[in-house]
Amino acid sequence: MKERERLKERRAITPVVSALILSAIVLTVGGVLWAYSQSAMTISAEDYAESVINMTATISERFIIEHVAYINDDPMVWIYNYGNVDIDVKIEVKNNGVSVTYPTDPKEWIPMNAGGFKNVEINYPPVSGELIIHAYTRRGNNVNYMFLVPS
Amino acid sequence: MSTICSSCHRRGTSTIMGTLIFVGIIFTAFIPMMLVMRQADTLNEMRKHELGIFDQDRVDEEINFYAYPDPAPNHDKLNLRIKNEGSIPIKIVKVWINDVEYPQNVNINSMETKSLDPLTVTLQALTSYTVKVITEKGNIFTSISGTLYYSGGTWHTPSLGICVHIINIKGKYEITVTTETESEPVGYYKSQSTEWGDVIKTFMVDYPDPVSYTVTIKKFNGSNWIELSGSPITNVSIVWPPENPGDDPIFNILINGES
Repeated sequence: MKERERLKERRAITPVVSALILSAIVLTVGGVLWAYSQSAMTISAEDYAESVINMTATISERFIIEHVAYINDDPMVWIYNYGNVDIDVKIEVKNNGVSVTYPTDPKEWIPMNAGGFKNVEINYPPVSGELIIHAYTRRGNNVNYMFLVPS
Repeated sequence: MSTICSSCHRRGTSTIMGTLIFVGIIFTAFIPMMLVMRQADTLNEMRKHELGIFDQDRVDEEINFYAYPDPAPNHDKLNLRIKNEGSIPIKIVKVWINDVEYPQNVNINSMETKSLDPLTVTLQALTSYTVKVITEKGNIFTSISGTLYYSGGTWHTPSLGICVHIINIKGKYEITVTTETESEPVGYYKSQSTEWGDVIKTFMVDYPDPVSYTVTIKKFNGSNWIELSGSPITNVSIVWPPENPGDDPIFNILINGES
């Protein structure tokens, strides 16, 4: 009888161990999941916020070609950034299928501060007739201007 | 019995811990992420709203300005008289005269008229001078007095005129512009047939104040020409170059044809 009671008491150890093991597994898996969730969601939130900020900057861009003149046989273009964000601009000049982009290096852009003016002289072969001036920003906004070259 | 209950309690510990971890993830990762996203969206919406107002303000900008030369001997000075006819203040940031820029920093309140400091131009004979103004909000306005022309040592300013606007539904009209110094009318218009809608006619005249003009407007009524109420309009004179706000090279007359 005493032996049976002793055995009963021993059996109680297994549930304790199993509960401990289960708790350890839950803690480990939960901790990993927690860490993963936190980092994944932080990255997601940052990406989303950054994309929204970029989109806001894109829709905030405001600029005009305020004047074009022909000086020393080259077109001179004046741009005015009247928006609240800084922009990077490239200028493309077209006439009868001949197109010249300034700056010529694809990686190079003309930086313009918010509210700033910039004038750019573009080296372009002498032409007559209409010049189409196309200014576009790194974020993809653009404006056009038609200029009649003085004869 | 006591063994079973004890086992039940131990199994519940893991469940509670799992639940706590889940709740922890919700509160420390998911909710902050949603808050950041929501905040970004809110900022975006605010910016869009501001841009909408900015664009509307830009559309609402309206100025009328005249460019006119100083009298001799300051021939190389051009004056700009600018009237803000919009409902919001305007800031002038630049003036262009042909290909020369003149940076400015002039604020003009709604319905206010301001004259800029005279701008020095390089005079070249037989040259046209186009004047335009850039506002802070990116609008470009050109002089309503048109392009100035310099030739033979003198400036040629734009033509002067009298514009008659008759509010009309249906009718035939006769408009006569006379002046005391000339026996013949300096301007005459007669409807060829019944006109539908408003009649707007501009007569070019040669002389500013002190020469004055009389404008007579008649409407054909059955078989007679009857003067409209308010006609003749006497002492029509054009103060040019402008001396006061509102002086315009075109004198505008608005009259009701149904009266």
